[in-house]
Amino acid sequence: MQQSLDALLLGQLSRTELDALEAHLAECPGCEGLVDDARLLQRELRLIGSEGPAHRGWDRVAARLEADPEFQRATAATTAPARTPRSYGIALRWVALAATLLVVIGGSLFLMRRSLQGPTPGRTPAGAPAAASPAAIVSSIESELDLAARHYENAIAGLEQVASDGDSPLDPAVMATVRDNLQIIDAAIADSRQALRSDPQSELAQESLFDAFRRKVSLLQDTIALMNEMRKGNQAGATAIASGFNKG
Amino acid sequence: MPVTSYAADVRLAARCRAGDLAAFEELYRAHSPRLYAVAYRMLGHAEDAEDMLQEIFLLAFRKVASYKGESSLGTWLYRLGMNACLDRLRSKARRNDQQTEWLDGDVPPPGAIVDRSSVVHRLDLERALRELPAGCRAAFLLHDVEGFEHREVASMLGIAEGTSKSQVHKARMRLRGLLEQRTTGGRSREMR
Repeated sequence: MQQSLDALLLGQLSRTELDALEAHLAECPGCEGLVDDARLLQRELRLIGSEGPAHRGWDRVAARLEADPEFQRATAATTAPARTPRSYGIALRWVALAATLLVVIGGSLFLMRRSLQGPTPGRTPAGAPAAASPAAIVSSIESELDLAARHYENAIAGLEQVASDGDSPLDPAVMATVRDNLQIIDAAIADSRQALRSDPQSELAQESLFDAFRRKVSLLQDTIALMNEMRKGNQAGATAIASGFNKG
Repeated sequence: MPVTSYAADVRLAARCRAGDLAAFEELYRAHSPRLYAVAYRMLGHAEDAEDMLQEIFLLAFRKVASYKGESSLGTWLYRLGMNACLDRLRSKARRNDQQTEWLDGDVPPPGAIVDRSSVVHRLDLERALRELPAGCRAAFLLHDVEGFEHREVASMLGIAEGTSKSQVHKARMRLRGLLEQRTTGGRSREMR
């Protein structure tokens, strides 16, 4: 009876099961009372709180949000100028790599911006038909995003190769943290790709994907910078970089 | 719960993440009635429910970055609110040094049946609900009122599925008994 009652209250009984239960209840006053009371309790309990919050409830929530320092920071950040890039004291080998990355990222961001903006009214891209269909525009945006993503992936592959240097001076625990963070970012990249497949025009999914790429590049750059500091024996510099790993 | 599209939910979540107060108001208008009702039932008092509602929306701001659109924003918010209520119940139980959050012992024998021809007085029902131990009340409400299956209740409360089943059953029996005591104790039942 308990199983049937549970299923009944959750609305999971089939027509046949419901008929069988009702046939039993017609002959068993004890079970009938149990079921009727459970239904009555469910119905009445679902009415508790149904009057909703106080009319000025939103004012209180808004006041709490506006007083929250994190909320204030988020609001301010939407209008604040872009942060200046961190400077990394890295060896020549890495400077060359970073320069390559800058070109790649710059190009990717340019492509992404073009994708997000879509075609400018009154201007027809060279080689494009005079009046592109919506499907053609979507296809164009997708291919440009793919191109930008490939640039990032190539850059990341180069950084990964350097960061996974077999002669790494890093502590295994630090490398484990780096790997954990990379896994989280990779999961975010996979999620964003999935969201983009469902809705190729989703600006948020596009932003999330490229944000994840940027975070991965940044983490790999930090890892390489840390390796350099360790090789130089600069413990203070290494600690400062490593302390940022858990905040990613 | 209002039906919204995936894209609309994702856009709204992005605005909330950016600290857009108007977006939060939209979220509040759409989902606060259900969240308030859940909080009221779980915590037992209107004042606690109002307070919890504020906590839920602050929490939503802090966690909205983790919203990836796997479920509707309403479902995500509901789970967040439910967990916040459960945390509040747990900490309250700890503060009160409650020995057990669960109902022990046998259930009352059958026979203590509420007169089913009338409607239960709401204040009696609220009081009876509050008299249940916190864990038992949570399991019962999650299953019988909110409609979660026992395996989901068990996962949310960190208990075994069998414990959920037995606590829900005991809560039903206890509520029937408590309501019967009140209604036969001289208080006249009235329509709400």
